[in-house]
Amino acid sequence: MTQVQDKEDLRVFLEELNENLSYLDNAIIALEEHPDDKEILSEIFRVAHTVKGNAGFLDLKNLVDLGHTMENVFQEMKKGNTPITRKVIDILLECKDTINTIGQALAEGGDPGSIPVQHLIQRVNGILESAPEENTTPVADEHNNRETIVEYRPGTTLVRIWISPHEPAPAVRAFLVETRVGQIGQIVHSYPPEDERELPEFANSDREIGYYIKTDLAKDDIPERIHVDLIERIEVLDEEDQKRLQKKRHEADGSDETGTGRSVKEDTSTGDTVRIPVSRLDVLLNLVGELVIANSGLLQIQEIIKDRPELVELERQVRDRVKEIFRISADVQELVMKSRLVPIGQVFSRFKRFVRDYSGRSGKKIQLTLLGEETEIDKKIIDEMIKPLTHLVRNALDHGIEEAEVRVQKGKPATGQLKLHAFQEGNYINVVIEDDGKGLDYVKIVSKAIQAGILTKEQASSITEDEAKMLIFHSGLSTKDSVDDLSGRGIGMDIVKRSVEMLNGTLDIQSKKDQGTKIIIKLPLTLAIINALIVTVGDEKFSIPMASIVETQKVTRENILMIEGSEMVRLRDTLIPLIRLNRIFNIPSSHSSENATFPVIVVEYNDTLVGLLVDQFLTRHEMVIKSLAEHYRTVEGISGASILGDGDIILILDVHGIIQIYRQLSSGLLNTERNTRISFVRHEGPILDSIARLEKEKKRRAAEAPTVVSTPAPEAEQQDKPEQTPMKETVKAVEAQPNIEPSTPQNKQSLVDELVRKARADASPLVDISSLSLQESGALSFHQEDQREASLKKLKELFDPDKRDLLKEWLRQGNIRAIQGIQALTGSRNIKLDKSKGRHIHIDKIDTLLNKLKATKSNLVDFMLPMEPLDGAVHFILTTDNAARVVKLLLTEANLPIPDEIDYEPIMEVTNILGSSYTNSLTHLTDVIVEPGVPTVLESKEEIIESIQSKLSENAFEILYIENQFLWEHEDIAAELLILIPEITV
Amino acid sequence: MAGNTRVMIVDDSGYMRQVIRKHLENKGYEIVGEAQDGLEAIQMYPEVKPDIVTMDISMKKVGGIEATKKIKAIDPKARIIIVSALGESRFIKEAIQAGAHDFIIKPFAEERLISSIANALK
Repeated sequence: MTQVQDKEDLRVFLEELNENLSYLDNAIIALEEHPDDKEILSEIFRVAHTVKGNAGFLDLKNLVDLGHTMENVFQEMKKGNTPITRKVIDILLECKDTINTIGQALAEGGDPGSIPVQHLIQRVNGILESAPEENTTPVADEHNNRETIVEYRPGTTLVRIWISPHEPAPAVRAFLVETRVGQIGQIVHSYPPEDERELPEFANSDREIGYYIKTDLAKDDIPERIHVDLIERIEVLDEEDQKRLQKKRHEADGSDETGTGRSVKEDTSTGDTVRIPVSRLDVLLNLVGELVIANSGLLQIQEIIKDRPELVELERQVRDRVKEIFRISADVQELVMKSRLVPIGQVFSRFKRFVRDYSGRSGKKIQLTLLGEETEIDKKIIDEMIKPLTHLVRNALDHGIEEAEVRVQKGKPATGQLKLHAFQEGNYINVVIEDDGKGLDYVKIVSKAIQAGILTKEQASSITEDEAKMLIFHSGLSTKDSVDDLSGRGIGMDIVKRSVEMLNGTLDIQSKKDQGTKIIIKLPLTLAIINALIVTVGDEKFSIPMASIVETQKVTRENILMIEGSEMVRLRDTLIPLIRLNRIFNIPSSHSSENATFPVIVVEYNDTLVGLLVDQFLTRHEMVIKSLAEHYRTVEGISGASILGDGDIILILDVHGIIQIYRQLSSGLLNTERNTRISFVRHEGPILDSIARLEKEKKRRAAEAPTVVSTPAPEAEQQDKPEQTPMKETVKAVEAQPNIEPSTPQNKQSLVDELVRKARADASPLVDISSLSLQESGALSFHQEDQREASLKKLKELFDPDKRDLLKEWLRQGNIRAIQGIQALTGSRNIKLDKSKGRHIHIDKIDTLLNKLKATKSNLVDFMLPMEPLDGAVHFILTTDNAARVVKLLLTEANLPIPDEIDYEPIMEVTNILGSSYTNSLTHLTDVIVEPGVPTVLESKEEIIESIQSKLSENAFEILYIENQFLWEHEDIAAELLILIPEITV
Repeated sequence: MAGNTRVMIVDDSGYMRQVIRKHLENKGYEIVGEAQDGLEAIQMYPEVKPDIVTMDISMKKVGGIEATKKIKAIDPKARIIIVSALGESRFIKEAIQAGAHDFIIKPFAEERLISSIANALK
């Protein structure tokens, strides 16, 4: 204890040590009782840390080491890597006692340094080592004597910095240096790579870091600007210096290599394996997907030239190439996929220790059997499955397997069996967790469910075992408070199930009283590809993961029965519920009463078979799942989207979700949840609507889509798109020059066409949704006058010259949503928002606009969407000629017949989307619910003018006037979008 | 220079505070405040307006990173030196991002503390 300055220091040290020790004593014991208590873990870690830190000042090496070791244990516990077992607790208590002994020796003037700690530390390390390891271990790179080769990087200054050998944390020092260097210039390149600075090799080297920066500072001014402590030396090399050094080196070794800041030796010493981040493989896989899609384009060309006799030879060649590329893509895909696979044993092995410790702690006798450890599965899936599996294993140990005595009484062997089994089945991996314990206690589950208000007593009286089993997945039941004795320490079975479903897997439970519980998790071999059956329902195409399908049947009419108000289908000897998919999704079915047979997909859901009635089985398909946008997850019954070879987007059904919707619908019990769903759609506004439609549209357009859409996650993609579209929002008071002449030939074909196409195809759902939401959100709408007034007052801000930012922001968001919505709807990017201006104009100036309208020679048609509660409206104005063309375009693309008499209905859809984009944005920004009203078609200039004039209130002196023009690229179609809001005068 | 340099010490360990105080007082620095958690530090900072703050990372209530951020928000010119143990690299980096001027790894020699402060005052 060379550094203890005086008695006073020692006294404070000991006082604090004793305080900390008594805390440790209590906390360690508390930890045993509440191993999941993160707060205790954080605090205990902090205390160990303090003990260690303080000990350092007294030069008490053994105390430092011990404190450090304890700190490590707590850290690992926090991370969940080290199970908190009795044995661990015992060792920790011993550590604490030893610290106490050291403290005493110190207090009594003895030799604290002589108290041995190594044996304890070794035991603690034993615990840590046997704990499951992180599944990545850093590659030990052996390049101690790195010799930096200065390269010449034009336009840069190289700052070489040597960190002092006295710095105990050189990587952190390097980090600090980097922040300083970043302040004096833009870092173009640096060495060594950041992750290498963390390695001991860097600490043991000469600790040089280098930054090629772009800076305005003179060479000589740089060192003093990097005033970081513990820096040994700074050397600055400007461009000339770099060049000179490089030249010199070339002369010396006669080579002309352009160094990369790393020594030649390093570059040539790589072995024959490399480590690749999974994320990079993801990108690669996505690219293969793109390749397949791109190739489909070729396939389409081949289709086109197929019937041209003069092109027979060309067609053959194209066909061969297409095949070839498909084959190569498939090979690459497989290879990439394979490189993502790792043996599941990596996870299984964690449980050896876990179970053994548990066994020792609980006194239960448990034998763990691992089977199929070599089974390979996608790395990402394994990572995602660690937690759920741990939960399930812990459940089996805590609540499945009984105490030895109980088992013996039941006539079972004293030792309980826990089996983890993995095996591959086609493109799926089954993971089975099986115990021979007491099984699920249905009585208890049901009574808990009644307590939690999930079931009524009446419902409970008629519940089947299968239904009761389902209850454990109910989020209200499997939370900590309500079900401690059912599923352990707050382990949510609902979360386990959800995790599995997120991975496109399924989870099934089989349980027999006193015989045990078996949980079967079926996971796709890879996240990236699923095997699915494509079916049609009405005009829609859906895919159903093969994992969910038990069989497919064509059922005759006699085998569909109505039993107690529910449709059932006879499947051999049993009756199973029949779910009509078209009803789930509100789609008209193409089935007619004359059909002789009906295609039914039999799916299994928690041991229950259910039939899904579709219109047609199409084909089996292997689909590359692209990363899904978040919103998909929130659409019940849909688990994601994929893209077919022809660029067609297809929705993937979530069988469990569908069954849930069905149950809700048929029980009537959970109607509120359905409402939630609908209102969600409403709040998400055009984006979500458009996604739904996009999918539909895509499907409809299928083969003849002129633009191959290569992005399956529309809204994610489009997030950044608006930046690229030429949109300007200005709130400048430019003179009012509304460009109302929509027939102005623009070399572009705008939104409207595409939109309309799409919109036409699925006009009804949007209308349904909006009208539903309007009805159901009665409480939120503006029937009450005072509410209306309050809302208007808030919206008045739009006219406030000091709040221009609100207006700007509204237009910005509205424009983005409009473009996104419409592009998503049409799947086309050929639609541009050409300009967008928002300004206030004085009411008398409205004449300018009206005069302009009057002066227009063409016949105009206006799709007018009122904005509630404002007196304003969105006007979507086209010439009648253009409107007709737009309708035709939409219909053609949607594969619909063009009626003799033009019906503007498709354009109404477009208007709906545009209008709601702006109303939603306004709602979003102001928290005032602004909704689109019922759209009206104004079929003449006079009507348009009258409509605008009628809105102008006597008191309004200003009008908020926003002018946009949408353009269809490749078509000479432009459409004006005007938003007019008269001054709010409440 | 040390004579008129005012230092505030933030550490949840009374012992650590004492060690730092002693080192600094030996060199003639003036300790204008001691705080035993981030919250106290944040409250104390505007009152004592120190030239230098030494800041522990893991503390009850408000930790050192948060306190660094808050103090930097109060006074962007605040000079904060993180005093921390090896193994807290991640947190030190966070503190650096939050605007900490330097860091000292515990245990440290007196010279290290003095040198760091001197450098920070440049």
